Amino acid sequence: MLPNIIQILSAAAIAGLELDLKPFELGVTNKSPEYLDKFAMGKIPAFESNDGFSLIEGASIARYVASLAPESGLLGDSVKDAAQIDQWIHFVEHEINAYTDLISQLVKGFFPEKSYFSREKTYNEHVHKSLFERQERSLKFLEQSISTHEFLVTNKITLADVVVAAVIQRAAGITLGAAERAFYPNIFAHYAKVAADPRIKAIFGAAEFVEVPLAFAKVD
Amino acid sequence: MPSVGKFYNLPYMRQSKTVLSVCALAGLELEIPEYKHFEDNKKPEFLAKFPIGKIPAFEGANGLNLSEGAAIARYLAGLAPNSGLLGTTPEEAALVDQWVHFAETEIAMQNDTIWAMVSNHIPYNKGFHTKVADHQMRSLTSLETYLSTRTFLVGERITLADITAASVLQRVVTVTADAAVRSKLVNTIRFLETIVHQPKLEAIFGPVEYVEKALQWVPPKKEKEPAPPAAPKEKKEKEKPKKVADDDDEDDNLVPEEPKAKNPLDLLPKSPFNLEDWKRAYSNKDTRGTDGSLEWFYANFDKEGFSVWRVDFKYNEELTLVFMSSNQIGGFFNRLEASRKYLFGSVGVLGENNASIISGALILRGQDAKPVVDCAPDFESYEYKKLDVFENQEDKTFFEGALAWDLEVSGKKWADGKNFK
Repeated sequence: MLPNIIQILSAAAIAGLELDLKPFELGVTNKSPEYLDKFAMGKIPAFESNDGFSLIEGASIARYVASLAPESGLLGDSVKDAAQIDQWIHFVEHEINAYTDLISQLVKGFFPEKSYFSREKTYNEHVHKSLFERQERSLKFLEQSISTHEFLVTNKITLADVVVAAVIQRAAGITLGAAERAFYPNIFAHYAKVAADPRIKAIFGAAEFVEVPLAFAKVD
Repeated sequence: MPSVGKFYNLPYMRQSKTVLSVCALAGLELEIPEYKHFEDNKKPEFLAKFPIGKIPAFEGANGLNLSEGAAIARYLAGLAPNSGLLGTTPEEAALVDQWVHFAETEIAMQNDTIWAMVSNHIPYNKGFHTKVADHQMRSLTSLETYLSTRTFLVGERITLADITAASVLQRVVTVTADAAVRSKLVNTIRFLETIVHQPKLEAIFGPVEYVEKALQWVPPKKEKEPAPPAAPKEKKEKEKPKKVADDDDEDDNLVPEEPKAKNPLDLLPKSPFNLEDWKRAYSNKDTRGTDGSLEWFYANFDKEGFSVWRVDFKYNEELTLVFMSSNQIGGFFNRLEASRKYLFGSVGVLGENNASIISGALILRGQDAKPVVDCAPDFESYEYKKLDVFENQEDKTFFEGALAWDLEVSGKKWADGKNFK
């Protein structure tokens, strides 16, 4: 499950709110006139409240859901807390997850299996290396920052912890093999703690961490 | 008025413009300390407050230390609820959120990636460049449609969403959204101009510099290279690539534009058939029937100056879902943009999911397809067959079906299509 879905479902679970998950077929449901009527961009995830309010962008949906239950503490207990939660979410999305996405697209040649656009033309190991170095720099900062707190912002789990854990889970399935993960003990200790929270354990699921980072496989 | 805090930034960063605009509209005073990038942000005092080590960074008078431009902007906007910058209801706030997020992840990120490549901050790769540019174009097109019926992104007044989007777009029009692309983003440009000219924001945004041609990568000169092409090299510095909002970039010198070679298609003898008139006829009339565009075509076409072609995708067995194949046509058409003056196309996906083909017709300048289509790196993935729509009935039927979007080939019916016009 992608981080944006994990964060929405987790926010709902911790906030004690029920989400009605609609059956969905990519390429079919989001092309239907009924869907496009509500969500003109045709993207997922998409959220529709009971009174017809509609929203896209995973992070925005998660925050809105969290805001419906202020006692959950998901957005902290003060305006400052909320801002710092914001900061961490934004940081991991842009400075870690964005690179996981780009690298994932690179090594998979952008199209599944066969491609009209020869995969050799889109893969480039220098670009790959460059992107990974940027991700590493961000991971180093995160590792240092996580070391001083039990949770990232307050003394209990917030949306920031959920998003960081989800982003890390994804990175550990694509860019971070066993050797790479060994550099970030604090990050992974935080991950283990968050993913084990009984309210969201099933959402995080049994993560599939890679032994070695995903590499581009040449097609013969 | 006491300042709410110190804001460490570089003024040309889009995040800086967003934060400063928020303060201007929210009536907040911000202190901007002297800041030397690469020096101050490596000092222990800075890192103690901002472990992420990046800018922009905000040091609140109340002790809050915050990184990430978007988080800073939202926090400051939240200090002035009457400003309406975050909307006036939780739902509006969520929508503001949504647009900020969309602008950053679906437009800005792509822009930054492309800029980093063409200015050699990350290694260049044409395929990657194209993919990322296509992604950005899809997002811009969605935004364009949304803005065709509105002035502001959320509600009826300016919010953080508008400010963020404008700061992103201001950068996009200096990198990827060149004159040709902007002609398809009329509402988006109108929106950008509206926001950057708000009286309190004009000085913050400064002038918008519109690039004529999207930034291209110029390969670095090798040691022993043959003499440059015959056309005189223009050292004229047209586009000044604005510095990226990334803190490991140094000041870059301008990249001179490639010398402009004359397009041989412009040197063909003048033709009475005007492609723009044809495109108008096709758009405004029904295709078939009396006074239809096909009737106009047969009456006005110039067989000497232009030619008609059938185009077929070579790898139809790879096609899966119809909408993805349709996107592929769209991508191919985007990459043919440079030949806009010389080309018209009507190409579709025929059949069903996992049993489809891509096929259609092109009208192009001259008698050879290659010079018109080879600006697209993937042109060789398609087969081109010249058609005689006057003398050959089969060719004529195919051509008319492609234009009328009711073409049928080998029992496969037209499912979806795109026009290049």
